[in-house]
Amino acid sequence: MNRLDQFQRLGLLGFLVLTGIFFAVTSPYFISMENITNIFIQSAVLIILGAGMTLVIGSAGIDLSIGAILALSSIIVAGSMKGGLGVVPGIFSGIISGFLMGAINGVGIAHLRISPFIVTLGTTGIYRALALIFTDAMPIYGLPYDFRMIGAGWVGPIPISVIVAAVILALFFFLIVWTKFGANARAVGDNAECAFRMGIPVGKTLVMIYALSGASAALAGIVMTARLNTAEAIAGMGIELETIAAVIMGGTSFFGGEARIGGTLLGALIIGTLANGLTLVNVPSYYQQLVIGLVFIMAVLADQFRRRGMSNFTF
Amino acid sequence: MVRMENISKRYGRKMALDRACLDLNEGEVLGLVGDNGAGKTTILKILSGVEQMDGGDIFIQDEKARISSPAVSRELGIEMVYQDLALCRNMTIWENIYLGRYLFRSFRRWPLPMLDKKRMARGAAQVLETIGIDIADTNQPIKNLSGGEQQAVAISRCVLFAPRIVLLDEPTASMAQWEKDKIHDTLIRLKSQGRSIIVVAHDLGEIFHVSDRITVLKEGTTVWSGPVRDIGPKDVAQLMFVGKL
Repeated sequence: MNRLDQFQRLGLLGFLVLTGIFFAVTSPYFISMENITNIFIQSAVLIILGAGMTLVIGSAGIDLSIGAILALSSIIVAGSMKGGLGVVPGIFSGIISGFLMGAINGVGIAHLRISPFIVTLGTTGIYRALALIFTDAMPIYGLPYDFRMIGAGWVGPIPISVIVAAVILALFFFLIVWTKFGANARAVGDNAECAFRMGIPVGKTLVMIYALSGASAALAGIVMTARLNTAEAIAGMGIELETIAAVIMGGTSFFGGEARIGGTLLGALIIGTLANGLTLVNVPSYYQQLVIGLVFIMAVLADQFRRRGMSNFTF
Repeated sequence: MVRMENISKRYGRKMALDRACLDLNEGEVLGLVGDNGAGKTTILKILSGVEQMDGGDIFIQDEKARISSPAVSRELGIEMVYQDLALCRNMTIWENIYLGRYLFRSFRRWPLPMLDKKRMARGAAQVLETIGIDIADTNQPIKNLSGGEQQAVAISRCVLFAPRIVLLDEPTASMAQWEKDKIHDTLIRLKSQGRSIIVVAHDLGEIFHVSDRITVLKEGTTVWSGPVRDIGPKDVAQLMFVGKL
């Protein structure tokens, strides 16, 4: 990690601390063990989605379909369990369906040579529509107790959803930093032509990247469904914006070649803290969207500045 | 070692190679020259598996070869240094040198192979040292290096895996003279180890300095091929631009 990256990481941490101090001063409820745990629980879904998105953006791609995959796989999990499949097979059916939905995105990008933006925009519509068709736009609720524990249970002082997020984050960190697949994925993001010339299977790598993003979206859907005890077709609408903001804020570049899982964790916690703090100081939710939109644009500008310097801002 | 017969390649309406022929003997340096667009890089890309030929035959050690991808080319013992260097700018020096051919370490109780970063960093430093380029920290990203250093990394990647056939497309284009001398020394060492080398360069002085034989291409066709002693730089220039002596 070079000095600029260290500075950015420290800057992120500083921003998170400053945000915390601001809300601690403006709301008496912010600094409490219960609320801080609450921030982690609320951020768990974003952290899981962010892990997959870090891999995707690190490969110079984008996945707009994660919200729709989250919704459709939640419906599949809930529907499977309601149909008598059992909790563990139900969870696996959701993760596998998310993996396959992501793989379809990957095939469109790698083999049909359609841009990631277009493919995932198209499949967003398809997956969301399928979720609505399967449920007749009605929510599925009343899920098994064991399943609900994923979202509401605790192991000692730590919520299970936070443990799930930490495990997924650690898995993706290992994958990106220590494995052949991770090195290949970063090479594809940095310079796909170079990766191809060096014998890296670029197509297969891309398909696997999007499949893993889909699987992480499905897992995020499972955590969300378990917490709310409801699966619905409109779940996760617009969550891709927050996820991309968390990843870019964390130092993963839109230009590919770098994937910073640790930064994504900080980015997700900043967004979680902002959402929690703004609610505590009674700012309406539509203003929260405005703040997150602004933070997103600032993160992208900071990324461009970091990569290209001031010349990027002159015309 | 390598025989290419009647190789054709078309890009849309443009005929990049029109029944071009090339012979590369074991342990020799072949200088491949021609004007811009003569087809030099296309021949190298076909040998490296990046491009597929439309017609013709390739023989490697008298056996017909089908080079369908860069991975196949590497398996046949062919390595190429590309004109654009083919480096990942955000990745470290050692990651670039070992790209696609990583070293792994395994632990007794851990089932998954993990990248052996220390061994790769050490190996990268050693191979850079053998070609005489001193870069202290192989953990720095490629984007931090000068043009000449980047070229040295690309050549190191090619040398490290002891290929039988080395293809060099403008290997010293952005190098200072002292760096060029080191690369020329590396070529001589590779040749003495029995490796076969094809060099593409615009600088005829360099071609005559390092090559045993020369092949001249004109508009995708081989117009002359023979030992360096049989021809002079002026004649080669005439062949490149006029196509005949």
